[in-house]
Amino acid sequence: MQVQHALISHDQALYDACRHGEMHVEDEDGFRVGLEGALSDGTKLYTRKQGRGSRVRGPGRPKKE
Amino acid sequence: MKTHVQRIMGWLALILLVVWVSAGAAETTRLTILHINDFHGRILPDTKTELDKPVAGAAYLAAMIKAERSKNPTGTVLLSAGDMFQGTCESNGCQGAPVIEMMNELKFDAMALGNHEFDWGMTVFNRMRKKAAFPFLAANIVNKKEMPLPGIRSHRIVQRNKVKVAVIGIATPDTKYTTKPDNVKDLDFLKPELVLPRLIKTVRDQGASVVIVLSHLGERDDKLLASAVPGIDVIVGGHSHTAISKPLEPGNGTIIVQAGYNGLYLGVLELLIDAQTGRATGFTDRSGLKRVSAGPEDKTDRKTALLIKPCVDKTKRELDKPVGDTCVNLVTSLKEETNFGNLITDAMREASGAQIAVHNSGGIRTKISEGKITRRDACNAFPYDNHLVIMDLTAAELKELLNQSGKDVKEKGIMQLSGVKVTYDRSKLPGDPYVKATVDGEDLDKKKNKTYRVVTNDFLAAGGDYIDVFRKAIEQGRSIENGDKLRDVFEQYLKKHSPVKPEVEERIVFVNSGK
Repeated sequence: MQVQHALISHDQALYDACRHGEMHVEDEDGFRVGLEGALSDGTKLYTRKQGRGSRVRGPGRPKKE
Repeated sequence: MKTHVQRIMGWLALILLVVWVSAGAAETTRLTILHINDFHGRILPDTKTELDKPVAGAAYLAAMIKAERSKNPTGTVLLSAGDMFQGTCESNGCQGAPVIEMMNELKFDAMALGNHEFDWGMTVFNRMRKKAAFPFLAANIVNKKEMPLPGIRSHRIVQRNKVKVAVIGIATPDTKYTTKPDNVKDLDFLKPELVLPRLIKTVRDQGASVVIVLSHLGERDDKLLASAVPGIDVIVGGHSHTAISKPLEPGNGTIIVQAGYNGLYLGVLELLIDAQTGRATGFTDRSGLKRVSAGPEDKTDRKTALLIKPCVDKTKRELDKPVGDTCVNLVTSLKEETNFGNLITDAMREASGAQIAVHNSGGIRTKISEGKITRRDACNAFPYDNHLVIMDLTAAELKELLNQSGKDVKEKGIMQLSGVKVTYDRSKLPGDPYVKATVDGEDLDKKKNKTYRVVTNDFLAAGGDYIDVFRKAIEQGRSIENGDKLRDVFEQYLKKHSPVKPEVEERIVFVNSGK
């Protein structure tokens, strides 16, 4: 399972925004991750508006395929 | 007089302090670890980013690596944490050759095996391995006889500034289902924590004072590994595409780094090494990520640019080559069955052996005109790197899937189908439009206990277009099989069946339209 799959599962609008560069995804340490990055069980993801302040929404904890 | 003596004493103290600091500094040396991961064949700059200028590209990355190495020429190691070759038309078309050439030119010291290194099968894998002037490392991959793979080493020890540095490769056990399963069916991927303690002892016994694990596990698993296995100085990671902008120190004295993806960054970790013990004592503030900018004012490495040029030129020619023919215009629509939808879903069924194929209309991005179909046409029609996902659905789930698809006619668009025919009642929208469906001529509603093998793409499988049937089944633990890239499936089908002449043949029927 990849970051993009977790986003799509949670809210496709978030996925679309990330794909178009309006938002990006960060992990629990605040590091950016790519949409095709692999996920492990229990990973927490957050989306952030490009160039803006705090995290806005999280797509939750993905389960392994 | 007293003031004069005090002044002399002060100067002496200062001189002693300088001598003491200099002596202390001489006991510390620097080891520079340059690293990349998940390059995914990105040999040309990416111009479609949200940034104001292009980024990445082999020639720009190479210039940056050479510049960084020149700052510590005898104390630098250059590493890759895997997934280097697959991912772009240029690299895929030459089966990773330009990336290998770039890595040879840059004198990489080692590379961990990523899951995508197996995407093209073992024959291509072995060809790449033989071309590489650096070792492929994987301590946790064995064959069915529990032997290491031919030509694959568990580790390598290099010496830099009199410091012995061990680099141990670790592949992800996820490889079993994140590449084509057939390609790795003869391999076993062992848990890293089972193989590493013994290996760390071995390399320490061989004199290594710095131990680097070159991991393709992903950041989260790297953290778990750091906690579970003592004795690792640095984990250079990959797989999760994480841009770790400041090295992580999760405990056990281990430092974790990772440099994003697609060659957007070069990772630089500058370790401080106690010259007497050879052990790492920390890292400098130069450590972190350097963005690989690819603007007109940025430096390129001419030699690397020349090395990749033949493959780039070949790819340009390849994109214009025909991969098939169509006797009719291939049409797209979000609102109705199309001949292009029928063509791609038929191709998906044939490639997967599934009984039914389902593809989102919005995933077919352009129409194709009658005549020759080039690889460029295929790339434009299927620009996303979607791959097939195959799984079982019950009759009830299939019915719900078809119903959701019919509801989507006014929103995201219906799904294109193969192997099933469905009838919708448009007058029931926005409620449930499903009326009936048949699979191989059998009424779906009369086969309530039947299970169907269904192929879709990873976008729909994850719940894209608000179709949640696949996603829910996966969340409930339904096993899935990952298949080939959609674009490849399309091309293979064209090669086999051209000229194609797909038609609209009432696979999707709306009744009570316009009422």
